[in-house]
Amino acid sequence: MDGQEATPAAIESHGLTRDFRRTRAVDDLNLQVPKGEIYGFLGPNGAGKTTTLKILAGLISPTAGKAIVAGEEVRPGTSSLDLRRRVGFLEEEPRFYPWMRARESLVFVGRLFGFEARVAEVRAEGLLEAVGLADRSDDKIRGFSRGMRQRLGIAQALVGDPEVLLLDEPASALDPIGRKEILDLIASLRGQATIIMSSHVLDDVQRVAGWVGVIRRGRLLTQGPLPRLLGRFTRPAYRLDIRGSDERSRVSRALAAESWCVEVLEEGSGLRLVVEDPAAVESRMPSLLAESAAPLQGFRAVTPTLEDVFLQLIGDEDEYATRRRAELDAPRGTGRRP
Amino acid sequence: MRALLHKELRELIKTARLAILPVVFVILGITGPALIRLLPILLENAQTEGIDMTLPEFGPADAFASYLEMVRQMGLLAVILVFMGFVAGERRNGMLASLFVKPVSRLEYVVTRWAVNGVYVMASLFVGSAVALAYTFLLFAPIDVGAVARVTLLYASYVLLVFSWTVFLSSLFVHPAAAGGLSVIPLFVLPALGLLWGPLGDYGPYGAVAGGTATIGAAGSPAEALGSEPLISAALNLGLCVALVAGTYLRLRRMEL
Repeated sequence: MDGQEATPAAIESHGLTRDFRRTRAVDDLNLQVPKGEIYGFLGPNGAGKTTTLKILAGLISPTAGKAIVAGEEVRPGTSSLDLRRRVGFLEEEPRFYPWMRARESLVFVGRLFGFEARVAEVRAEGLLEAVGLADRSDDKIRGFSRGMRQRLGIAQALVGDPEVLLLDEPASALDPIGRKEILDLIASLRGQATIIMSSHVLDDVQRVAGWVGVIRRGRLLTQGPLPRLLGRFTRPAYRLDIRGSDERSRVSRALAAESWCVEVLEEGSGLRLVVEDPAAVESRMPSLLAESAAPLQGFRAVTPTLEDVFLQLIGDEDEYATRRRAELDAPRGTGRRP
Repeated sequence: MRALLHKELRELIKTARLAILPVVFVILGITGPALIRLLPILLENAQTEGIDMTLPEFGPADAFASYLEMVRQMGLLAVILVFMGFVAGERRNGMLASLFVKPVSRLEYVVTRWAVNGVYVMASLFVGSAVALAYTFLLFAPIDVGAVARVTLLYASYVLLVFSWTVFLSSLFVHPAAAGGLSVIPLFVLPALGLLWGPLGDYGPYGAVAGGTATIGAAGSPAEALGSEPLISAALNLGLCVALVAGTYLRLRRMEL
């Protein structure tokens, strides 16, 4: 497993598999989430993120393998109350008793965690403030929007001051300001709690996560510290700003013909150039631009993003799947099957 | 436990559920005796020429027995309707999952909710009986309060059994309607057990109801002394309630959410 660190894992799974009738939602998943880290759990819709988090939360059982959270194996109904006191869970669409008021709901959860009524009240106040719902604390949850419910859900997940926090799409229903506030709140918990946060919004994960795991069709494609993944899965990229669309097209064609150039993409009023070797850019680019006589406005190296990693992994996976399908579809005896 | 208990009581008040069953039983407590009071008048007005119907003279025991009959039908149906989503509803709306990721034991959840709502069901029955007692007094004559208390207690064991059965079925099905549909089966099956074998009627779950009704004395029959059969039947009902609560817990224990 890449990215294996010396830090002890607060969340781990071994060969975790879950089938729903004929569908394999999670397939031999081996997660390692280091203690105190924020782990971005990425994957397209239907990749198996929610199923994995539900297994980790002890809501559903694995068909095979096991999940260990805070040192204890989780299973529906048999996970100890002590473990559940140390874990906070936010569902993608958090549920509440609609007749309760926001503060009342948090006090109720605090009481479930064993806090005295006054302590639960104080915690509720603080959390409502932290998630930006202080002015709605006495409103009934029935009237809350999805974004407000998500904020309240995060507050609820934090009531027990959890050691491990499982967040399923924590910012999916929030507006940009709300998203920033909640991501800042999550980032502020780094070191205090181990957080696994599923998302398909790559920017959110890149903003807060130190570790990233990418899942597709239930299989973990990779996991590790974000900087390492960025270095490993992204190729050097450059941005060229060229005035005039004809000129841009001419340069694009010229670059595409170069062997050291992996990919040229039109990106707004410029070009994004992906290469194998930055040295080739330094040696070849000046002469190539001079030959094309293109009006160059800017040229800079682009910092690789999580999106680049994600797209490359998913692209490789698609390519692999297509190749496998072709191999399996090929008639026997053609020599194409490995 | 205290947090869940507090929440359950608050929920009863906040969701207006607190009023539903008492109102139903109060209506039954009024309509039962009133129906008996009005029955001769209604029949007299509806009588056609050539048909001579002679009705026995109804007394307070008949008035209260009429209320009890309504409890056995509409009262139990109301209990089923109110509680058919007891577990199924919370499972469907995601509240069970939300609760069980927190430090809440599934046994605590079942026992607390069953106990609070069981007391609520019984209290509703007693309110209905009190109203029926008062209405019987107003429309007919006083009736033995001790006998009413005894028969209500015996009925309570049966009502509690139907409630527990509904709760159990509600844990088996995702759809409250499925739980509700199957919950009515005992309302037809249990009274008929005595036809299969006499002692099943006397000592079985319905024995508490049949024996209890007999102690009131209605339709011209004298009030019977309370024998051991209804008491054994009531004890059996309570035992079955415990078994059904245990069954509900066992179902919930490993339930995936």
